[in-house]
Amino acid sequence: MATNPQNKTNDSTTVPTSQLRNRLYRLGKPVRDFLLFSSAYLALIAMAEVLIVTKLLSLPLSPAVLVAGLLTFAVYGNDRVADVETDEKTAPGRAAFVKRYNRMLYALSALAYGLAVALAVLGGPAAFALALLPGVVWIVYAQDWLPSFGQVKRLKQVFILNSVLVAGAWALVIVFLPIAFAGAAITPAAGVVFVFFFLAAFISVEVPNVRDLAGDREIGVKTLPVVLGIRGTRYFLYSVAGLGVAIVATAYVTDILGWAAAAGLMLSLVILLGITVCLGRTDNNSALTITAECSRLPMLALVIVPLL
Amino acid sequence: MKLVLVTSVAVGVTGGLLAWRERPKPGSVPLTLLMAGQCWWSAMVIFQIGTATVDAKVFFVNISWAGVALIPVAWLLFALEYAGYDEYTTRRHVVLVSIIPAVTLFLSLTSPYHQLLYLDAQLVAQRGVPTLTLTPGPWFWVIAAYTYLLGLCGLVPLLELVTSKVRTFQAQSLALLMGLLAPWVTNLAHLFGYLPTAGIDPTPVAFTLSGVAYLSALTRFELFGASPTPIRHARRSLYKQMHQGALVLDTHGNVVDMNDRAATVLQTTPDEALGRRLDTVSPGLTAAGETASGKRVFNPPGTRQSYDVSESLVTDIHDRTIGRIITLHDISDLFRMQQRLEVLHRVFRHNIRTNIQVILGHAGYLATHNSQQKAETLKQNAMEIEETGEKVRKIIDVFEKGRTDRENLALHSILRECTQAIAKRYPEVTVTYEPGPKDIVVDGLFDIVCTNVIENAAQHNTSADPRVSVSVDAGEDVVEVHIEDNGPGIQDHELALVNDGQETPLKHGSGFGLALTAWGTDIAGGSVSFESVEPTGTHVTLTLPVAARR
Repeated sequence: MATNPQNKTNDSTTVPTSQLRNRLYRLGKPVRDFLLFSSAYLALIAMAEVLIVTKLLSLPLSPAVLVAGLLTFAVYGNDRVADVETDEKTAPGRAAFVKRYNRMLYALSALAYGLAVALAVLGGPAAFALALLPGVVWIVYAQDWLPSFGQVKRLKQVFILNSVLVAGAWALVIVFLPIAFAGAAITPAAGVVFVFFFLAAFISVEVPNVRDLAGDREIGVKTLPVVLGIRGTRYFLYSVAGLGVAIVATAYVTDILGWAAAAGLMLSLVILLGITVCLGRTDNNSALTITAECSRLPMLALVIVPLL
Repeated sequence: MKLVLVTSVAVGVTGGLLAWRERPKPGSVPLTLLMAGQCWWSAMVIFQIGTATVDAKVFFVNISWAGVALIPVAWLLFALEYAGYDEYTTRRHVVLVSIIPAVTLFLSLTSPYHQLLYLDAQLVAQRGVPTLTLTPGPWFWVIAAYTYLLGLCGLVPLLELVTSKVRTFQAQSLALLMGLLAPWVTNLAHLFGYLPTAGIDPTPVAFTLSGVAYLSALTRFELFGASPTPIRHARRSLYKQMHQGALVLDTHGNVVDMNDRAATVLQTTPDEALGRRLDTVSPGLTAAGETASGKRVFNPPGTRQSYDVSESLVTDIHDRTIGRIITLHDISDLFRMQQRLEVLHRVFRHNIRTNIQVILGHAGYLATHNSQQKAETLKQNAMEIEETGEKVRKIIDVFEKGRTDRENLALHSILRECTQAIAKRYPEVTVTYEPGPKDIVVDGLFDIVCTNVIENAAQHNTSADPRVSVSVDAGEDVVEVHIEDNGPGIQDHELALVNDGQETPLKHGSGFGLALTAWGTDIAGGSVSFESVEPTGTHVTLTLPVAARR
């Protein structure tokens, strides 16, 4: 009796592989969901970025790495909980996860923020102020009590200002927290690194807005894609990335940054430019979003290579 | 110490955020501010320890007042909101309690220019550690005393809840009290020099304990999940809004509290009555005697309302009488119905008995004599019994309608149809009708009432030239229907039945016509008056509320 050579369902070697894959999937899925949907992966990225800044500015290793991670987890965790209703339209998978673990996620976020502020106190008044900053920005950015004071809009809905606030708060913490912990002076290099992180964060914030276009338009949040359209957003982000390239190049030429640092920053900017080119031209916006958020990670080589 | 302070900050921020999430539950925002205040204080102490110069240390001490001054205000507001005393947490109250802390903050920020907060600041080496020693100025003692005062004020409502029958509230309150007492005791011990902390105020350290206590209250004892806040309001609402009137008297008979209903019944206001003796406020209520059924019934003067008066004693924890509660239960409808039934019963029995006695007497006579006249009398009495039965049916019908929703009818239609029907039934009577406005609508019960009055005027009119006139006098809210006849008039004792407003058994009428008129008008919210007309006759005025115009 002839058998179908393509049919390998009864192959004795395939069954254990498939079971192993299933088991790994079952074990890995909760971890993956937690990392992705609670935005814990962003906390890991923030920690990596503080490590990069520490290396770029030749600062000693400090608790700033941990503080940045905890702050990021706390702020994004809170944000996910606060926006769970609107996320149902733009990110249903994440919204379902957040709804399921709502109280736990909020409690973890609160604990993370408490630990972050407490650790930051050890870094002195500047670190303490920087640790409070994301919380303050988040309150004015995302909370709904501000409009009750009058005609002030929820800042999350204000065009450009929403992204500037997020990018600014992110860049301030990532760059100045290790400086504050080290008690170091603010050098021109620190200024350039801050501008780079600000511009890169700005692009990273706007990339997922392309994915959320329909939902944001429906709930009245004004983002670049909502106001300028996807093509307009691309051109706007080209100019932002271009500005970053110009600043990094100038910093290299004027010896503010070394070649390795400049190359690392340039690489990130190129990745962001590549992502911008793909905006609206691919359906896989989630991949673009995560790639944008990870665009500074190649610079980790600056930290890891010397260790090796 | 630094590690404990850092823990205090971590616990404080976490607890503050957990409390913030519970908005707008009562107490959530003040608790967040309380946590923020203690975190700020702890952080400033850490910074102060970490600096070396007097100026830097004094700077952190001064700016720590932003948290120090916030704590007592937040604590008081939290305790008041949590325990349900939120009438004391209005914006005006918040501003008032914040004045002294605000002055303190201002003085702390301008500290280099005066010595109100601190007289002197010096660095003293204690166990080799340079420590800041501050000599308190006059305002320091003001804010210290104020802090303890607010702490005590916040303690009172929580102590009430410690004895609550609800175990959750007991646990919550105990946790909160621990949260208050830990820094309080620590601060007192520091102020009186009992703690070896090298001159550093260890109060913020105790906030770690406070934070843990508040966190326990929040998470383990569901601080905002099960809240005693509504208890006070509910009790007050029950008392204020209950349908019964209620008065609280002290042992001297003075009115010390009353609800709105009681004020309405006694025709007074709480402002007028409170603090005065009950026999001055309402002599009628004090004098209200017991009825035959053992009830105390109070009839407010000038009204037809009746209230069942009941009294209960208020005792304290030692079972001593400390006052009385008097409740006034509106039994007007019940009382009136009872009186009406008694009248109905007596009149019914009287009429039937009279008719039957006449029938029996005449029937006996008819058995031996053939008398047309006696037979007629017999027949007439039998018809009177039937008529009595019919009137009783109508009265019961009126009572029935009084309990249900009734339709409204056009007054003009009622009177026109009624006068036409009466004129047809009693052709010897001249019935005239002067219609008023045709758009007036009245309670449908007045159909029975008007028909009854007009029919009585025609039926019992024994004049040689019987006349009945009906006219309408329309006002804005009420309309008067005048029915005048030239009949024999109504006996005074029968009129008393209506004019006194008391259907007493001693004054029963000979028929049901008047009762039907009086009771039907009363049930429909109107009034009736009777006047004699010269030389003979009666003028009946029915005053009816206008239900609508169409």
